[in-house]
Amino acid sequence: MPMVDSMVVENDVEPLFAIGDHIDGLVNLPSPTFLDNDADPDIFFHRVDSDQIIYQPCRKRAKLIGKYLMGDALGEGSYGRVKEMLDTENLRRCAVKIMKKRKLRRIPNGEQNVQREIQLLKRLDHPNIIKLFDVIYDDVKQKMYMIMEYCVGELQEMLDSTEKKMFPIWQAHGYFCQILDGLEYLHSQGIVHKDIKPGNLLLATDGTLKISDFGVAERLNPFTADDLCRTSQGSPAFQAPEIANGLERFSGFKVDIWAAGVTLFNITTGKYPFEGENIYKLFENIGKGEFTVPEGVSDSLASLLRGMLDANPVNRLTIQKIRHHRWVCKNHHRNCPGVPIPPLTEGDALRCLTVLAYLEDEAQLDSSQFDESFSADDSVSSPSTPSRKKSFLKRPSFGSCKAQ
Amino acid sequence: MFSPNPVCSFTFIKQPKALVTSVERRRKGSMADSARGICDECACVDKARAAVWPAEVLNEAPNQATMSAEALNKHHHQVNFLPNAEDYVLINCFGKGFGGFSKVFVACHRTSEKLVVVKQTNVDVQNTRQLEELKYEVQVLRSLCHPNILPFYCSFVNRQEVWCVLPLMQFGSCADILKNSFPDGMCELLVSAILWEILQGLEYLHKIGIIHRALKGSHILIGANGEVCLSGLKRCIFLPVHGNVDNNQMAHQFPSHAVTVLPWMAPEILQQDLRGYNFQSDIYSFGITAIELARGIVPYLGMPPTKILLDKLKGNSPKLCDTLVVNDPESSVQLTTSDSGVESAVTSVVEGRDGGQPSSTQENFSTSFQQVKRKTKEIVVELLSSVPSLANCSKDKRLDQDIATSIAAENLSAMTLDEWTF
Repeated sequence: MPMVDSMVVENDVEPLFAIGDHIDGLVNLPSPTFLDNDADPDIFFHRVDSDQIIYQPCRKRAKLIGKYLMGDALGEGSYGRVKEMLDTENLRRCAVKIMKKRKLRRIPNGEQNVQREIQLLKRLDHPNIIKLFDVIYDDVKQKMYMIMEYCVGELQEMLDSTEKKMFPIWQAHGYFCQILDGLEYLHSQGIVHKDIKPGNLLLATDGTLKISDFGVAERLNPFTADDLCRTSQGSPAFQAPEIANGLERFSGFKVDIWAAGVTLFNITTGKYPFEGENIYKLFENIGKGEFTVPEGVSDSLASLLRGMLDANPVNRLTIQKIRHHRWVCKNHHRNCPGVPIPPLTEGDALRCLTVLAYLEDEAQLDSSQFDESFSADDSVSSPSTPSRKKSFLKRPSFGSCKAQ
Repeated sequence: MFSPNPVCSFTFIKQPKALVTSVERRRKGSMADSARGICDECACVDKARAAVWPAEVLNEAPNQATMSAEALNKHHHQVNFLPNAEDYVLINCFGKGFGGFSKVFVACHRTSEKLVVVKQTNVDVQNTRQLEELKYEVQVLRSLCHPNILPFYCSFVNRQEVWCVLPLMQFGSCADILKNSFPDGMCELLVSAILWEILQGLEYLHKIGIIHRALKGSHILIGANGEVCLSGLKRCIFLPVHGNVDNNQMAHQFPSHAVTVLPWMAPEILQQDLRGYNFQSDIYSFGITAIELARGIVPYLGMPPTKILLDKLKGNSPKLCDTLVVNDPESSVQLTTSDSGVESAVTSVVEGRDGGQPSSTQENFSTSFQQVKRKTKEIVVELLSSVPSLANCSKDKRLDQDIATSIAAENLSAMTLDEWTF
């Protein structure tokens, strides 16, 4: 154990002394003989573990999950909290979805959806699809950590920060083209997302759009020729008429096109093409497939929206046709400032690394135990947090920086 | 996009027959006066590129316009390095590159009898990402031409290996030189000379929109005639310049190699926030490299990555004197007094990088480097006279390829050239 045993002999006249296993000078003293004799009633040993000595409560205590250092919370999803993380090996900034098994069990299809999302994300690699770096299971705490690419915000959050809940055309166009790229890739991989909406579209620090949340996505059977799906669990306002009408089988890819159409409608006008007081009314309206394009929308955009929101999935535009649509091809002028990623409530507009405070904690801890560090033996790590921190800092795989 | 098929992805390297013969003809004409000097030779890179480079392979590739007129004129006085395995006699394996996947040989070019470096990478044992990295490196190197950027002669596929032919930089990298000959750092004159040359290379890269991202001592190679070349360009990134050149353009991609060059890495790259980074990050690395050369040791050496990260993000910047702790006090006093010129330059680089353009930074330097301008090559050769040359230690060991590989294993442990990274 990495500890200093300070032994205080209280009920005796002998002077106080401390013994560490590395101090040879103390071997000559007569006292070590009674070290093994814990049962001696006359001597009271007070063992002080090094963990207790160095432990100081800090405002931001460093917490490690494997090689990942936990940072501040980024948000709360239906499945669990999302926090920032730092990969201490390659120093990459990540985000982690923390899910508790107990909570997942309460959500319909919760565990199944998470497993499916992991399976899907593992195989995907595209700039417009969120990347899954790692999955860590903690059987003791019944927790699961999905470590993913770090994103600064979602489109929905940006829309909410504006007065009209919409983007300028050039900005919306930029995002829409990235949605198309991502969707095209997904469909090429035989994956139907089924839940395209501004809330599931994230932005990386460089403004790249990332399609996320594959909880209800479906991977088509690679041996079937068509893209027929049977189930859909996406958000009601983005559901296609064929789903609203309760069709048993429907084209999966066309469902994604519809949802992308509703998304485009939403981010360019600030409205939804179909609304309803409750889900039945909403589905009734979607089922009819009639909607009006608000005034002020350009002809080309209106024609694209009508093409994507065609109630008949057969006539609905394909991704290839959308790509060649004149609104998509057009170079939209950056005539007004774009909607920025809204600053956090704490006022950090630049989204600096939040793990820094935790790293500082780590560093303090390290310097306070510097004197004894040379005698530390890391082969045994106790489950308590402080010693885990210590072993993290001296883990051999962690390495030290060598000039290369 | 890149082809997933390793064979296909390298087909662009092969030269069409007709082009080869035309290059051959020109080569015969120029054989008589095979001009010496890296600068002369590197012009052939561009010619090779013109011959084999399909336009669609790299659309951001800097074009001929960025090449200086002199470089183009020198086309007539150079050796042609053909993509032909028979042209190169492998002499001695002296290191590994590309994460241990490639072997680096000193080789002799048959027709010109010049010593070159051949880097062999077995493409069969690599994954798609590594192949893409290799391809990216070849693409980038081929597209560059500057006396301070390591020239790239040619590359081709030989059996299951991709061969890259590069010039032999006889003194090796600055990291080697420091390790073997100047463990306490180089003298100020030499440091200034090397840095001055590197600055030219950096300026060229920045002008064509490249952030090097891995500037450090082991990526600075020094040739027999005092040529100072920048290598390690496989880690570079093109700063996206969409049509209208926006000066505030920023890159955000986090380099996967960040940890391997952590002491040299600029804090804004590590911060990974909305601000991003730009060419100024190379200037930071340049400052750290200056400290490395002057002290013989890089700041932060031996510290765990998270500690370095914390220190950098807290805004602490290493000073030239900081590393003195490791040196003995006597020499340190002497160094501080003599290095004041570099000291001030380094401080201005590492700390004061507020929005200045690369060229303006260069102006700042020019005063501290005044003394070394124009005659850097002589200075470098003179001051490095004691440094063993790579060519000398390999010339007497001409061996067949098969024997070379077996001997290489022995040499590898004996030679301290593990830090040759291309």
